[in-house]
Amino acid sequence: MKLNVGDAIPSLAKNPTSIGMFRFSAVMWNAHRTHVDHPYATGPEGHASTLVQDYLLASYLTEMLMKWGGPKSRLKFLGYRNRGPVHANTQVNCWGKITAIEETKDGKLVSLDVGLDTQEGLTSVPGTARILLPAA
Amino acid sequence: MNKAASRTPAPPANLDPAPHQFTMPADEMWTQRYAYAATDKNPVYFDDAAAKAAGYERKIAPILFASSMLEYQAGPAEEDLKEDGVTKGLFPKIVKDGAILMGGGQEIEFFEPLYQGDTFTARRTVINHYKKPSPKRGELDFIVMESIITNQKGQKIMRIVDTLIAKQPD
Repeated sequence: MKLNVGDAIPSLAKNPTSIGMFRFSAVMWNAHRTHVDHPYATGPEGHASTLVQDYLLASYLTEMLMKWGGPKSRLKFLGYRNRGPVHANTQVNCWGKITAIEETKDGKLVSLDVGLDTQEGLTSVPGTARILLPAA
Repeated sequence: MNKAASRTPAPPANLDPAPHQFTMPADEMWTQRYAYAATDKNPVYFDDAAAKAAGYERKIAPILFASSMLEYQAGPAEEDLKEDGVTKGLFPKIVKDGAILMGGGQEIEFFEPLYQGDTFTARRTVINHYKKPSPKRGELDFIVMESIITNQKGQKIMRIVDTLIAKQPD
């Protein structure tokens, strides 16, 4: 794989549904109603809809990175911050852009800027990642 | 290293005197439920042959499985949850009754893979607390926690720095 700083990696579109969000909260043992209870999220909490869990958004980023890196790649670091809400049943688009490539004895250690854009045009979870791509 | 953690002094000793430590299994059902819920059908989570071809010993847990767990224990009971569903009494020296808690982000370093069938231990410590104004929400409290996840062999799986944001009641 020929890589250059500035390259974009293949993006990943996801559609977090209210069913998927319920299942994700259940498996995390997360009872926060803002993720699953529409009347509560839009009433007392004042949101436009239920909010997608940030851990679920982060898992979309790891899915994108590991698909791009291939089965023998190894994710070394992921950092992100929550900058804005993502609402249920809206499409999001994960993206990554290479910022550095380091040759190591184990392969190429690739650094990227990553994020997830919402339908409203907001980058919701901007962050950085490092992934090791083993030598061929 | 979290920048906020590095620029401010160590938190008061009474902030979180006892680190929270829990052990739980990363069994096949829970880890694969996580993968299905996250709609991530990576074969290394479901198929030993695919995992071995990828260089693992066998099926692994989804890479964020351990870092996504909000609770590593059976409880709390429903009566120990607030109206919004969040556990009562979290960080009582910082968070007032009626505060809204939000996730602020994570930094995760990955070391060894967590295999399905392994048991892992999470040791969580509050490492910093600071206040910062927000243009929209007023002053917010930032609580920074470090979690070290190890497996039953004592191997380090990941190090997580989590930031929790509290908007105190008016």
